[in-house]
Amino acid sequence: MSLGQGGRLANWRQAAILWPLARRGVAVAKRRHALLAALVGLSLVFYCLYMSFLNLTYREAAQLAQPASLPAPVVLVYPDGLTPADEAAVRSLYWLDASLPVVLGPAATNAGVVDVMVVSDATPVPELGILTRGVEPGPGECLMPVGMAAAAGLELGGELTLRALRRPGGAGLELLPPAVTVSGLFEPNADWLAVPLVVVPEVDFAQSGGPTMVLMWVSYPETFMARTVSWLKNRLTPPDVGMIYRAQRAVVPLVMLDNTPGELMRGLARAIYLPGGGAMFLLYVFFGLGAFALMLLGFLQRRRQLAVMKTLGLTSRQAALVLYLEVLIVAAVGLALGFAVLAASMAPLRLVTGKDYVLSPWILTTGAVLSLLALLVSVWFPIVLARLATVAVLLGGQPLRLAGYERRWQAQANERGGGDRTWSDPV
Amino acid sequence: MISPALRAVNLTKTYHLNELVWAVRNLYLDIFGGDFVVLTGPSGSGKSTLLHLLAGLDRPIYGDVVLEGQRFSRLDEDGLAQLRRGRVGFVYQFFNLIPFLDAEDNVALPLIFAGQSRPAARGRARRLISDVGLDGRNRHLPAQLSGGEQQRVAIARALANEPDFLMADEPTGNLDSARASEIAELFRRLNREKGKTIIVVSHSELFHPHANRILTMSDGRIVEDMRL
Repeated sequence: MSLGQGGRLANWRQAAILWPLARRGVAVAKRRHALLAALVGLSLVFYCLYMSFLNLTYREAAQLAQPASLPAPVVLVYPDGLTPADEAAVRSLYWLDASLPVVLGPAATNAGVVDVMVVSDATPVPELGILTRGVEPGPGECLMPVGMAAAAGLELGGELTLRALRRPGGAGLELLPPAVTVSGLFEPNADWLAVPLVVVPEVDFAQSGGPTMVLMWVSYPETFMARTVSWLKNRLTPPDVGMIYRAQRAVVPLVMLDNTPGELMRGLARAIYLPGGGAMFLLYVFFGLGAFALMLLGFLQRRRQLAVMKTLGLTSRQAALVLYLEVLIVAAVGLALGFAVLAASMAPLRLVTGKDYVLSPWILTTGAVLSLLALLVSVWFPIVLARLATVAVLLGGQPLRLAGYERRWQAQANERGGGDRTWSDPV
Repeated sequence: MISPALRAVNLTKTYHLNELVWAVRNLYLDIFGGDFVVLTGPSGSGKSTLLHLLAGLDRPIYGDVVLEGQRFSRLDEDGLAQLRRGRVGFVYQFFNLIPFLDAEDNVALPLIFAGQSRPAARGRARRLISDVGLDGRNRHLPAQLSGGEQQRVAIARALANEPDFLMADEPTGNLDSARASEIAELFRRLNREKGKTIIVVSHSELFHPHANRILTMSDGRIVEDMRL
């Protein structure tokens, strides 16, 4: 009879031989293994639901970040980005509704290129007093943000030159006055996403039937980003943010630059995805600790059995295989349970929330792999104990110490003056 | 000159309870193939600890056990497990059968650990169970067997891999006198007919008539070595 071959068999063959033992081991400790399977299932459900929520948020955010799909009708995107000088005062604007008699176009000024909106009397415009903090310019005058004026070297009484640039739909901009006087400086109001740059009342627009006012706007992307991220951090979802923008669009122009979508996604990452990842990490820590405690409890309950099996010749590899097989059985049951719960919960979830929650194969696979990994990690310590502890230690006659501990302890005892100091080589 | 099959050299084992306890103290022992050795002595004299050390179930603080040239100190836990699997059968006082496996599967365990297929292991297990007089009880769970029957299953399990050594720690300590006599007789047969080297820890004198050597221990030392 070949007695030593058990240690040399391939893992799969060992696993096949030890499978019935593992299966019965699971069946015997039903309650503990059911709890463990429930932990696996719950971790899978939580992970998948959370990832599904993040997936939905991501999709909605991505939609928001797409200029074409923004609720605002006009978005000016500078494909080449802004020069550092321009960034002091961003010169773009979008306005609200194409149905309004708005003439829109760029104009070159001595403070850089700005976008100009010309509105008629009938156009609802923001209260200038609010936007400029109570300072109102007279005809032929303008107000400027302090930063922009400083960047352009303009002071009070200085002239802001205006020259219309070509852009489709820019009819009427030729009627801009060649220059306006800087009659006031103001700090941009942080509560607003954009502030008027120049107000030129009483301009005669023959083509548009008597427009009366020219507004030029400046906005700060960082203000926009900060506000957006702040809303998102306050548990507003991107659709909520979109609703706010839509509600405010009568008074608040929104500036989008070519890097704004990227900034928005980075803001989202900081606001949602990283905290979400942290939450998932904590969930798995909790799950891992629970699984670890159950595994350790199981090990302590079965240490006598393990001792007997080691007495009969169970090697550490075989012990590990038995424990891993048990874990795989539990994982299979737990994952099946989790998948069933997920399958049953998605339709009601969509119905109640009205949101299109999706469980992609990627989410399901990652959830299953993570749960399985957490379980395998949690069984690692019992396997180490099973491997290193002697039969006598496992039998419970001695405290659960690993091999080598006794010898180290004895060496220390000898140093303290106890025990037999001599080690004699016996052979 | 016949060399001993099993040697204990300067074997020492301590426990650290509230104080240092010397379970086995600088012990030298030679056991020859075919011996029937009874280890006796008062409780706490170190009999069970010595048996555990001789079977490789525990590690000494000092000294070594040498089984037919193989030094236990040079084997790791897996090495000891493989050595036990092939060379040493061990029987506990409280049987220590795996409760969720029936008698046949319990006996088949060492064979399965040795890599035998399940049908082959169970076939041999059936024969072994029959050899120890438990025909027809092979599908019973341990809880469905009497103490004597459980101990017979434990002995069959210890013999599964045809070890040269059979070691037993108070094998009759949990049995009534009739069952204990049967177990003692079984050990005698295994020694005489199968040539197994047997080392039994026992308080009772039940095994003395069958033994060729009786070792009496006290305070971790062999105080009397009686050869019969």
